[in-house]
Amino acid sequence: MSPPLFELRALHYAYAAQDTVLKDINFELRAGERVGLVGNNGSGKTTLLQIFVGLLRPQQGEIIAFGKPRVKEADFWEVRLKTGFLFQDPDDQLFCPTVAEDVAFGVFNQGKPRAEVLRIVEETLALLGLSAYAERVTHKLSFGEKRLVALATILAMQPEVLLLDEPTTGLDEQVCARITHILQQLPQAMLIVSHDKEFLQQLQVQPWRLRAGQLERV
Amino acid sequence: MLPKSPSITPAPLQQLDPRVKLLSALFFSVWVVVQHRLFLLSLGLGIAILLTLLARLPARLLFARLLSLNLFLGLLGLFLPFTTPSPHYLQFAGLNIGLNGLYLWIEFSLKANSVLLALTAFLASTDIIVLGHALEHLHVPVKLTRLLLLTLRYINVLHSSYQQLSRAMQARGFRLRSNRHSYHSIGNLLGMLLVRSFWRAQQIEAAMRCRGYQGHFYLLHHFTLSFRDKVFIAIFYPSLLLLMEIA
Repeated sequence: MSPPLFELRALHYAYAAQDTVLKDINFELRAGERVGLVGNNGSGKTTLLQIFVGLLRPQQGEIIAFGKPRVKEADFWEVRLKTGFLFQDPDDQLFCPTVAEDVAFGVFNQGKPRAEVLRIVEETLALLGLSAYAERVTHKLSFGEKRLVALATILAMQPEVLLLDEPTTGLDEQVCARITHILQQLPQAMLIVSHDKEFLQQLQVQPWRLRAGQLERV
Repeated sequence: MLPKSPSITPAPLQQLDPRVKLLSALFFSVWVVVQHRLFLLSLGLGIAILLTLLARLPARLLFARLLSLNLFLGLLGLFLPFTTPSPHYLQFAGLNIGLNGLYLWIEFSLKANSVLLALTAFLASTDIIVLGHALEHLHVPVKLTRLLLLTLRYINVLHSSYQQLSRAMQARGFRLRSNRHSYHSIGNLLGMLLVRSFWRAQQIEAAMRCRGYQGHFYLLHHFTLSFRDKVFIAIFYPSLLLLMEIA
């Protein structure tokens, strides 16, 4: 078996002046696996996703990503370049004036030369059927379009892992079906936080549940 | 909510490189401001009008801008001729009108109108996003240009967040009155808006870091000077300089 892409060992996390949110989390994500993470509101699902890419640091425990233990901010930079994190609210993610610029942002950060960035932007938008959107202004898009563009911005970085935080919440059936279809075609390992049972079924995920700070296989 | 570029059909001035437009707007404004002779200032106004025609701006927009400026200038005209010390006075209907003040007022009016027209002609025909990029290409500090672009991006989001909150207040029967409860509630609304903006900013930064942001912005689009730009530069700048020499 290939070594896991992500491995969390005996991880604890608590927000300042609050009860522990995550207790003794042990988890592995391997290439090609699709994991569906369910749990009540406020059970710490988003917190857990943020810990994966070092936006939050656990008080205890180890994070091993892409074969190396990750502790410092500098360690996580590399992790982030290989991990596509789709935020719950696409307005948080799309900060550039135009769609093409936003899709290019992460690719530029990977240090790719300009010509390649332009090619990747074009290809990614074409892949998601968004070619006509390249020069559109991001804040004028509909919610569904924003979500699709946000997905494009992370896919353009050709990540090895996708962390998706409620990718279908608030979408109409059409966009929802479109996102499901796109994700079904993708080879990447995925960790999907969602309340949408039908969507999780269509993606054939292994279900895990966060309850009372514990992460368990359902 | 957002400033939009008002003209739709590409006018001659609109097709210029935005960097050229920015620099020309700056150059023309400085040129007008340093002139003191009425002849040159009138010529300046003429050039500004010509530029406005070349930009084919919608009359309503221009009229609204000119109106607010000239209302202010009108007010100034009521005071300046009577309050500026002057060696000569015009006697008119029993009033002493100071020539110096009158002259100053005419100078101000010509300058203000010329600058307003030229700025509108150059900049209102440019999409504000393109303008932000042009500023970046002209090496204006990235912190400032990004502030402009991010403000443009998020002002709508914050505005809709404000609308949501205030609609939710109205839905629970809130009406703005002049009482303690109203001020208290509005205070809460503004406070919540601040908290949300702060939270939003943190989320955006987190999302940017997730895509490998390390403090550097890259520009996707590059501008190139076209033949049209070169012709414009070759006519506009020398003629302004020449006018100063001749007059």
